[in-house]
Amino acid sequence: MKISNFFLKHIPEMKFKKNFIKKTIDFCDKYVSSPQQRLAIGVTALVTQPLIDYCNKNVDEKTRDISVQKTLAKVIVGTTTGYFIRDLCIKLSKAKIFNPNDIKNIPKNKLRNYHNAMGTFLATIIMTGTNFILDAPLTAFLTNQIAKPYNAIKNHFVKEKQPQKNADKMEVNAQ
Amino acid sequence: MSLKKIFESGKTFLYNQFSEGGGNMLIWMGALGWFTAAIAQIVVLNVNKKIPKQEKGFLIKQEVADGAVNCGMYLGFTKLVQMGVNWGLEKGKITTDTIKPIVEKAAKDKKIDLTKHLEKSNISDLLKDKACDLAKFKKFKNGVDIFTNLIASVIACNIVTPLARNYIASIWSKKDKKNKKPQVEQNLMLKPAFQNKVEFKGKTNLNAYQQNALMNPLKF
Repeated sequence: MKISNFFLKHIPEMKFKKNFIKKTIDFCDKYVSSPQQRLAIGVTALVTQPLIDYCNKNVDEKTRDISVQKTLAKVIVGTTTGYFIRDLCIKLSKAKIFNPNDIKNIPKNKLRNYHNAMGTFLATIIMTGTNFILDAPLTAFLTNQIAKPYNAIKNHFVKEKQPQKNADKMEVNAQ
Repeated sequence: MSLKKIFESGKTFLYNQFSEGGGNMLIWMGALGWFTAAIAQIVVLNVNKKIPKQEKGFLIKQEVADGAVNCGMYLGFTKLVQMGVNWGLEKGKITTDTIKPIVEKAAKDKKIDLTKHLEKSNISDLLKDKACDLAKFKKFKNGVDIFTNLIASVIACNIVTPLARNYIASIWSKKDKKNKKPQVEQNLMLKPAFQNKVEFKGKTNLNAYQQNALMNPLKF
């Protein structure tokens, strides 16, 4: 028996009945491409990545703090520029010069997929340049800018914790 | 080959590879994007003068690990998920209450056993004579492909990648520290400093002198 046939027999069928899931899949087919994907990755990265960096006990505290600041800046800048450049390039890919040769015979959905691919490819080339010109200096600038509020927030929470610790110590001494 | 011909063949390549569905394009272009972004970040870290040298070493290693893991995980994980989902879609394991009747009707019209057909072939092959039904199936397939790719790329880039890159970078920096230690120890000489005239005044004695020399070893 083939491996695929084994899975075919034993894997249960997944049948989408709920309207919400069907609408989500339909929405993905119609509207989601590389800019939206970049946005989804960026927004979730803003929550998960700094948290993972902050909990990395393999490095000392100072390095950890800079790592969090750098990650935050990188995600914010990368997502913003990534989204807008991809979106602009997909619009640009609809220009005559980028169209496929026999455009009249191509179905609409295939043409849309082609424009998305061409736009994303153009964006990748353009972003090789903008990564150096825009992303890199902006990330460096934002990393330094984030440092002040980050330290202020951190100090605020550390100070809040310290009186508690002191109070605990006083209790232990009193006993 | 002229530039115009290269451009035209590039357009044809993109059309042939990615016009069928958006999922495949998202995977390959995404990996290419992560690669170029990592190179830029490494360059900027090198240039940033406000980050101290000690931290810079770790951050650059973190960035190299980040780039390699990003590309590897992104490609490996998302491609694996895509292959699994495409298999499920083509074999009828992932379906909806609108697609399933279409497939069953097509099998009935052709007078074939659907289960046996799917063991050897797939749904696209079954619907190839019915353009309208095939378009409906492909639309659904593309939507699921993009949706799962979106989730897979979020997991690959935001959960697996940062954990893996921190782990790899910390291993590198630990190895670095180990390599540096013996060099420092070799250059230290834990012997009392040689002095021509040694005077003992007040409470100073030979033990105190030796202790002082051990605290401040000579460096060569």
